[in-house]
Amino acid sequence: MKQKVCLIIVIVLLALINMPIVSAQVEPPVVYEMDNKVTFSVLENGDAQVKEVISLSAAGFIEFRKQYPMLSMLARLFKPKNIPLQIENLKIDIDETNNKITATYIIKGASINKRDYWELIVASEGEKVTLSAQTGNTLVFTFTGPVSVGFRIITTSTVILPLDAKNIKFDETTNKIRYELPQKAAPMIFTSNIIFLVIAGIAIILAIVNYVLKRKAT
Amino acid sequence: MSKISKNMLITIILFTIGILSLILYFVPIQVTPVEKPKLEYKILTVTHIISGAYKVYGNPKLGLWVSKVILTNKGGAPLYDLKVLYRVEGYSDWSEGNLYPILLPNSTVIDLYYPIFSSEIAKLTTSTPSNVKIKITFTMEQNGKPQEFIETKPVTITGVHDFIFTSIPPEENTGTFYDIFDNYPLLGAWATPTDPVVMKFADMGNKLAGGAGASLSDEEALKSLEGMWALSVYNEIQYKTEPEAFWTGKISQYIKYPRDVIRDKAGTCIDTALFFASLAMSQGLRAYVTLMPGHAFPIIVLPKSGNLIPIESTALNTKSSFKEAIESGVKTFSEAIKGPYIIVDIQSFQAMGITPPELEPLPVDVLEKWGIKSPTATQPQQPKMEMYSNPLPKWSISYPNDWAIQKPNPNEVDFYSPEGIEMVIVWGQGYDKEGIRSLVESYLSEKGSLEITQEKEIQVSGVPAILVVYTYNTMDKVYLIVARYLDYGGYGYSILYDFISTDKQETLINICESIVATFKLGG
Repeated sequence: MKQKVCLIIVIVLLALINMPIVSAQVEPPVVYEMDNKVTFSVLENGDAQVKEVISLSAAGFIEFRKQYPMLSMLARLFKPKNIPLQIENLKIDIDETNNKITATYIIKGASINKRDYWELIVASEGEKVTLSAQTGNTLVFTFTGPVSVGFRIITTSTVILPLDAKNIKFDETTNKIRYELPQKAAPMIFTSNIIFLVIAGIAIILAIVNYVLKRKAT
Repeated sequence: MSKISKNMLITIILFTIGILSLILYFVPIQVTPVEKPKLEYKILTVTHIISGAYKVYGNPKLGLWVSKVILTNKGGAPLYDLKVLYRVEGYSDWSEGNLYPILLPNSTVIDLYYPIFSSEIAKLTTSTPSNVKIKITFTMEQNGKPQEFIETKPVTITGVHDFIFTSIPPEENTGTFYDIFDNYPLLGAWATPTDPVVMKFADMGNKLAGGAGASLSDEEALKSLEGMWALSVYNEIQYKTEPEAFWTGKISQYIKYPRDVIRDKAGTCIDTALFFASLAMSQGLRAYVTLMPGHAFPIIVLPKSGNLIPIESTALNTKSSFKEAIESGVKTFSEAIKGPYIIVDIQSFQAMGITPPELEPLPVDVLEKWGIKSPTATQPQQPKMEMYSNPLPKWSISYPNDWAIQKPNPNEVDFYSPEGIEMVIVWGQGYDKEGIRSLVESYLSEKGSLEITQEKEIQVSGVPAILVVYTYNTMDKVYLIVARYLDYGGYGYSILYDFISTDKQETLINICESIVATFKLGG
């Protein structure tokens, strides 16, 4: 009996497998593109002042706002708690009319002083980043991020190094910018030397004493 | 005159010196102030380390640091040779640390700790407290005397099955879906397509589908998936409801590895989603796990069209067909995309380094031990054989032990199978093979119509014999009879079997022929 039941199950399963499959299938979900323009102004102490402008299509913006309905959530998008960078002074502006989000913030310690040169990490090692332009102390990079929760971010980053930066080099292997910045001398202050005042005082007193004593002697 | 002149001269010189010194006093000069560096630091440490995803912490590209130290020089002079070292007590050695040769006044460096854990951490089955030790060293002047600070921060290491849905602390967590599933990429560490146990299960399913090459075409992929689904249904793998608090994200949750689902024959929707996604990936298909409020389900990507196959893995409970599971999956998917949802692209996350821990090696036959069977493997097995030995004349034959045996007379032994096969061996002293054949055919002809369809000479037990195939019509039934006639040692033998003609007679013939092949004359 048990065997017969097994046999029936086998037959049913085999019949199922051999059934023509008219499976329901669905199209892959829409992936919205986010145009992300970022400007990094690197300061002389290594911090970077950043302005980020994200533009979306109308449909993409609606979907984006669905995922980030609150400003606090959007703030976390720019400044997640576990971000490797240290972001301060974050300000976000949402332009509902033009489907744009603008954020400004400071990245502390964006560039690291290696004594003889400075080093700025543009992206993680191995990430595909293209240096599309370099003029003076300004470098422009483009890269496309992976799809995440229905969005693909296409980023154009403009890195503006300090005015005095020289020997600027971008290493494609490590995705790092290396530059030299003349170290400024320690600030000087203007002061008077009290020794001269003391000497002046002593010399004048001695002169007077010498003159008075001589007058008395004569 | 000369004395007066001398004194006057001294007075004039002293006065001149005094005036000049006074002038010099009022002329400003440049000097460098004497300043000192001043290091200020802030340490951030994660509250939990997810041991099931321990490998991700050692990969800086993933950015999942365990500790982050923000160091700023608030003084007026540079700091030198700044270095931060870390360790997780009991699970990692002191890190090598990055060297920052100089930290200028008002400059900041951010140092991150990406610990390389020993695989021992994946052996933890329950949450375990530990500490992160942080050692900061620097000098106040170039080649100066090193100074050192040591700090300790507590951390909890979860058990290997425990998943923390969110890394957002309660004070920042808005309780929305995306906040609750903030850690979703780490689910990639629970998908185990290369686990030998999963691969074997998937191969069994694939074999059930006819050994389809899943990645070759959409049709083959669907066949393969259907085989794996059928195998899961056949082995009664069940969807188990999660505890109510499961989806709140407030606490860690126990998530099974796919091998655990196979072993326990049960899993929550997220367990079964990871299980089915892993099976598909083991066959070269791309798979996602979709998270939506209160539910999770797998989506498989067809290799050629790129179309998605959402599968409602909870349909395992109703033993639904694969087609029904997909139809149900499409409905669930339509619901998912209306609200917040996350598609976890396991392959991408695993390519980034979110990979599972080393799971304990299991015996090769573990699936058999766990009672996992394939429908093809459970087809009627060959029953055990028994041997019948006839005392006189001496001959023997092996027959299945579920067959019945009868001896209606001293010269006849009959065997009956449960399927209705009858095998009859008769013998007569003094008969040759033709003689015994005539006897048998006369007997049969008396009770019905006998028609020879095939006849040929063969060997039985090394003895020349005649094989005759008959169609026998009796009592409105048509039988197929296969008989062998031979003589040996002064006896004529007839070995025949018969059964009602059916469309499965080939199978029955094969069974009988395998029995006849065991017939042996002599002792």
